[in-house]
Amino acid sequence: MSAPRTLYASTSGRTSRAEPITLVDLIDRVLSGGVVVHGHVTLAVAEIDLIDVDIALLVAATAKLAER
Amino acid sequence: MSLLVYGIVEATSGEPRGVGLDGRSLHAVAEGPLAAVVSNHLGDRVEPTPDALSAYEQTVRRLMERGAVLPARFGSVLEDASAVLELLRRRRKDLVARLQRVRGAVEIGLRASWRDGPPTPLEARSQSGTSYLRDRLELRQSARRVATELEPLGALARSSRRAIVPRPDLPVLDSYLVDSGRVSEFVALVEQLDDRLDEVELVCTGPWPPYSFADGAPV
Repeated sequence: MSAPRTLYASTSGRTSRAEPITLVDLIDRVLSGGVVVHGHVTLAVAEIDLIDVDIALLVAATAKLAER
Repeated sequence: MSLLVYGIVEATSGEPRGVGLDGRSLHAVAEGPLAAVVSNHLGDRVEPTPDALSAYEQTVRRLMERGAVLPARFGSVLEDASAVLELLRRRRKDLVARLQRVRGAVEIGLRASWRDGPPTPLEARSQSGTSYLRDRLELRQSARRVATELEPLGALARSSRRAIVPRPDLPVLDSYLVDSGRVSEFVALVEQLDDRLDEVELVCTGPWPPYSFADGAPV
């Protein structure tokens, strides 16, 4: 999977695991950011509907859940 | 045929180039000062496979390279062009203002992760409820101390979003809206902070289209 270039990954020499862009970075933005249009959205994985709601409700970002 | 929405741009951006998911060509649906970039789509769902997410992100990134864009959330399918026009009419004021605020800026992600694991490991199974909650509180307090150290970054950004302890190994997950011309300066400051902070490792990602600033709280 191609991903945006990494601008920066710790160069201090102390990094034990220099981690590039991960799918999590992508998911954080693409699935939980962006303009929420009013419409019908279904996200399905392996043909099983995970979410089937009016988009106004939509997926709660993992980050937002963690803030609670 | 329904329409998959990739993002909102200024109507003056002209017809988008390139393709979206499944190699489908992009076109613009314009209303007043705004245009939605869409592709034809069969059905009302989009499977969020890694390839689809990546293709979506690349499409939105290409839009950003041509001008200001507000990315749509992945999976935004509207039934037809009139539904898109209705969206652009209904939210015109807000979308125009947001486009104005993100113009000339990019989103930079910042992950702070514990260098040696969380200072307070959370192991719910082996503890009482009380000690689990106490550990969780301590973890949040440690994360807030890290967040305080990152405050100088805010001065280099137009706006920012923050999640505290989104995962136990991540004390802070930030997104910053940074002027394109200040990205190098921003990254240099992250580098300085990374050198200074012993507890955490900082990693920037990006530049991203402004996903975290396209909706929700005002930018």
